[in-house]
Amino acid sequence: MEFEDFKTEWAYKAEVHSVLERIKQLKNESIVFNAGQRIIAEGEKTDVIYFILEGQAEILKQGHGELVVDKFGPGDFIGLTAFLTKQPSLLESLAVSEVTCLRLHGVEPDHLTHEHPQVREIIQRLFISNLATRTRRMIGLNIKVAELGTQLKDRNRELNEAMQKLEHTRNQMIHREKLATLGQLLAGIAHEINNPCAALSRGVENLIEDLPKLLENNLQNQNSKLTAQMLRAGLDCPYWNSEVKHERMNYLMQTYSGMKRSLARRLARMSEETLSSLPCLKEKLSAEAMASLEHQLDYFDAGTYLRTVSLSSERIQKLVLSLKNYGKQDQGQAELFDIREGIHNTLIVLNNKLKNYRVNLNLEPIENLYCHGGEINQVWTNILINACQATPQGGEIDIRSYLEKDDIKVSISDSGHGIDPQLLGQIFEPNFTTKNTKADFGLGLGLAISREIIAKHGGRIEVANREKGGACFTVCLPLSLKDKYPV
Amino acid sequence: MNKIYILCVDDEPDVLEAIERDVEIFEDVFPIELAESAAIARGLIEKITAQGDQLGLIYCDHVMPAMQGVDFLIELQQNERTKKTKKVLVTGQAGLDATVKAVNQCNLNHYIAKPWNGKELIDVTKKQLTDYIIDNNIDPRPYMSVLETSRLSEQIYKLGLWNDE
Repeated sequence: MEFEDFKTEWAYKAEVHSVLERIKQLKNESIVFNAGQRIIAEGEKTDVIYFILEGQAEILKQGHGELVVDKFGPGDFIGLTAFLTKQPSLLESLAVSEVTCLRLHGVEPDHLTHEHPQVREIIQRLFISNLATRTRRMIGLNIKVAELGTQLKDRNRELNEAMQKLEHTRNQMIHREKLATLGQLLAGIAHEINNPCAALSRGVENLIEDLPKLLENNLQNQNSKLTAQMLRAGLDCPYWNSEVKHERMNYLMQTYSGMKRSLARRLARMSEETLSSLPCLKEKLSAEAMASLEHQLDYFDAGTYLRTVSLSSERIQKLVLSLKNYGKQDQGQAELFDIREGIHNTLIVLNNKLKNYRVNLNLEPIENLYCHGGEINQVWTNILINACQATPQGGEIDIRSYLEKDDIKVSISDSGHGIDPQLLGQIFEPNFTTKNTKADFGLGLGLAISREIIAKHGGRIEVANREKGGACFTVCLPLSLKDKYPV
Repeated sequence: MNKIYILCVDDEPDVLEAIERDVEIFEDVFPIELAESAAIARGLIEKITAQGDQLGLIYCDHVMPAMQGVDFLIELQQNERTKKTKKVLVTGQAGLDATVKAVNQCNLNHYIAKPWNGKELIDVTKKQLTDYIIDNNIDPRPYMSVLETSRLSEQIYKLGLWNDE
């Protein structure tokens, strides 16, 4: 039963009414407050009680922006507590509408009950009823406060979650933006490098073709055939392994006694066949033979320089191509993409880091898939960087690609310290990081973003610790992407 | 006479050959050895010192498989036989951390950023080997022709070797 009902049912409607009539007859001292008029001020001491006959009053607490504590109506007492305790009123009472009250002076209740014992019981019951009503309201309010507190906590939690989501989204956007910028930069730089590189490689190719011919046709040179042959031999000269070269130098210095190291070094670059084609190379080198030999060696060296230029320009071209493909920016739509080539390009881009590890590639042929290639490469990058950071130098990193049922799988495992089993469930959470602030990729977003990229392609990414140590990440992409776009 | 060696270490054969070409002119005075890794270099140093020769100068790449250049140079610094060797880091990319470590822990003598030019490498070689001769009070006379002649002349004077002539 609500406290309002209680009042209406018990106090107001029945007995109270008749009592009031009687009291009114007795004293007939009623007082009217206009709407908005103060009945008792906060802090005021009072020796009267107002008994509301008609109208509504609000009970306010100042200092909290006029907090409405309660509403009183007919049958309620105003100033009851202040009167009974003889303390300043805790609250202010204000007429909301026109309020008609019966004013009972301090002496009157006693006087009244003394002179009219028949109303004594009713007055007491009114008092009790009023107090009971207030207690009930207080309990009700307390319950309400508790409910509101719980709601507030819930709301706070929701807000916190929303904040975290927002922060996550914001970080992701920053990361995406960075990647997009990186991609554009790579594409731009690649283009800029490609132009001079194209000129370089064409130039050197022409030179490689023309120079031996020019030498052959040089009528002033008696040895024109030989010099051209030396140049060609230089062009085909491999990069010798240092130990092999060391042995060849020693062999030459032993065979041709008194041969200087510098000459032996130059000759050591030549193959047996080239060496044997040098008529001037004798056991005892005369000054004339020596001059001739050096002359031929100069042509051979010129050939090796050209070979270096040519191979280096090829290397630059490949690097640039890898950079371009690595940072591939899709224009919204997924494209048919060679996952394995993407892995190769990622390895080239990360070569500097991966140099310190033994990387074992075991890439079985897999179908090309419709996907966002640049983003997929980002996934390999994130996993590989983590692998490097978790693995001591000289450790192993295994990369496999294979088909399993309806999934194309790529697994990357390392021989590092693995992942704390208690943290296995968290590592894909945004902002999860075990690295200190000095780490290269300190945002702690790498794996969260990787998971999202893979999820976007309808795939999943799994992680486990290997029995022999180290972690293994497995990315599964649905084979169905081979002939349809990711949803 | 003990020989003073130059050792070049780089895992990329084309780069190793390029360094080799640039220091070749010192070969007949300072024998040159090449290594593609710290492990091979270690073996060569073992051989050089075992035959009573010394390592005067090392050019070492930083980013290499298995062992990084800076760590290898630190190892050499801690070895009595190679403590005095002049150490030069040749690198296309060493972070600040690696460089600071090199300077502080292996008494790095010089730092060459890739790509270098030929004259730079020759000048550095001359200066470092001249320093090596002077620091170790080695008779400079056999090396005059290929190193910094004026500084070595002063050293000859200081050592009182003019009297011999």
